[in-house]
Amino acid sequence: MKLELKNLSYVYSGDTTFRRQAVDDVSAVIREGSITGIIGHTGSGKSTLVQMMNGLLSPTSGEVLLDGENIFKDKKTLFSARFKVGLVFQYPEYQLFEETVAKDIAFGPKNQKLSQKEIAGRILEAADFVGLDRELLDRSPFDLSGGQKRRVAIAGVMAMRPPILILDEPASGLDPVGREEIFGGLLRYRDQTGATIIIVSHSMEDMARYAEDILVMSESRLVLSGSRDEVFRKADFLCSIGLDVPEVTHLMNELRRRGYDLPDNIYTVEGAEAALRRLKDQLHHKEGKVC
Amino acid sequence: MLKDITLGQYFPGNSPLHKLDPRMKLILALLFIVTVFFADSLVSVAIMALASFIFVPLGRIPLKTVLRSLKAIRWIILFTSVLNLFWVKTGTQLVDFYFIDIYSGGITYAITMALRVTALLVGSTLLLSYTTSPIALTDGLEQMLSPLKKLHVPVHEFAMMMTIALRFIPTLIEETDKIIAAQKARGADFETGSVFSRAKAMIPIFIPLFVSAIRRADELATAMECRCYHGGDGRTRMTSLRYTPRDFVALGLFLLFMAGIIGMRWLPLPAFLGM
Ligand SMILES: Nc1ncnc2c1ncn2[C@@H]1O[C@H](COP(=O)(O)OP(=O)(O)OP(=O)(O)O)[C@@H](O)[C@H]1O
Ligand SMILES: [Mg+2]
Repeated sequence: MKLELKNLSYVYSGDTTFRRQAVDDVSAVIREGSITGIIGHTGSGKSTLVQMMNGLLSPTSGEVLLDGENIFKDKKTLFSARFKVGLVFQYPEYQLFEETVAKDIAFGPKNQKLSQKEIAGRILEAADFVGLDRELLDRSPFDLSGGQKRRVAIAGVMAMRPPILILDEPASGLDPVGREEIFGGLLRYRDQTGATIIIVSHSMEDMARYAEDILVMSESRLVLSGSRDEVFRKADFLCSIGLDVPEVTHLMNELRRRGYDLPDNIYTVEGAEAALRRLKDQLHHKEGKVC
Repeated sequence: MLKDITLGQYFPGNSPLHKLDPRMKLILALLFIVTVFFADSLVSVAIMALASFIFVPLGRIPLKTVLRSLKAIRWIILFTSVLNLFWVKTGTQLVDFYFIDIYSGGITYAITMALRVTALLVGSTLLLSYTTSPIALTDGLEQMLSPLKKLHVPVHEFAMMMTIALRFIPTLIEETDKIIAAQKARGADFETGSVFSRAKAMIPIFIPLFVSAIRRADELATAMECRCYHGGDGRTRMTSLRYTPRDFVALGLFLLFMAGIIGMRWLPLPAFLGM
């Protein structure tokens, strides 16, 4: 499913003294089936932007097009957009409410008016996506650990099987293993359903690892967008708007500045390792020739 | 959204009104309300209503905001006025149409009523809610009522409870907004269906809200205990309230004004302006 944003703007508390333009004239096309990252410093309007993508907030001006159709056209289109574009909020574990994990995951599919049998299937499927132990399904969600609750909340949205899945800071506050598990679940979901995934994140490391395309927000505006390589190559620009590139990219850039022949598109530790090994082999080779 | 409900909204600022001691503002607001009820002629009530707008520039509050809060209660004003219009049967009869009788006294009284409610609202909100932070207000209240401690009234505890409640209203409203949005994202429908099904649709909001309110209360209590909070006995404050000359000047001016308004009762006014 194709998602397109056209001149989106959003103003909070429009006609009062607390007026605040949170999103300003943002246009973008999200590539179908991609993992798209949205980065930007605190207060740059990321959360506001994603809430317009599934129609929870109506833009002050502009349109959100799903397969070419404006989701704000009428009430029915708007309501159905919520099932096509799944949104997982920041700290979603605080919205669990049912007696058991399974019932909580079933909330979305139930609102979709699926049959009992289908719902049962969806619960198991979603639990598997996020790597949630099936034994936990009958427990109360309030008895789980923070990371487990987070996975239940994400499963609750995945169970609606939205063709576009948006997550606002899905891994914040989790340890590295927890982060990896969450992102692993997202990849599994994308690979099995062909969905588009949009991730809002502060972590350049995570973005470098998982995002294919990246949108950069600054002061309510979309200031940069493109593939991961295109965006992270502009390290100076990212720094100038208060963002950063992954640590290891800094290291590689510094080495390159000192005359080592390294590529300029290394953003992950694994990538750096491979490049350094290649460099080492090259140097070794040369030395061998000299001798 | 829920946030747009402005319950006694505070405008941070540095105006002469902001600088007054909250206790003095409480006293002034009380005196103001008493004066409004003492003012019994159309002229004196009109003066009060006009005078209440003096606080707009004094507190540097946008006039638009004040007018909007008036607009919010326009039906209450209209209703009380219209009720009086038909009720009061003094003066000369102007209309006699079946059961509708309107007397000149009724008209005067209706206008007086409208002005009185306006003066009350504008005066008290400007003195208190717009220019005094809720925390300063409870502080002021606590110190004014502190003599009651001698009678074993837990004044400090009540004030602390009020402070905490006030502090958490915006937080909980924000949280409610978030939870509603999150459940809507999962397709929850709060707008259609019977009363019963709509009430049931509230469960996914209330349960997370209560859970988080209780969690917050628990965390706050722990944090307070970690900082050795143990109630009011022997507690001193970081900023103790102190009256400044400014407060007494304000009080003096106000008492003069009050005397003037009350004095107007004995002025010989034309009948249609009086009551
Ligand atoms: N409910 C609201 N009412 C008024 N202003 C708001 C509201 N929500 C956000 N804002 C303002 O809009 C701007 C953008 O907020 P938003 O939450 O979209 O930022 P963000 O990029 O998601 O930030 P973060 O990375 O901290 O989550 C901020 O300046 C914020 O203060
Ligand atoms: Mg955000």
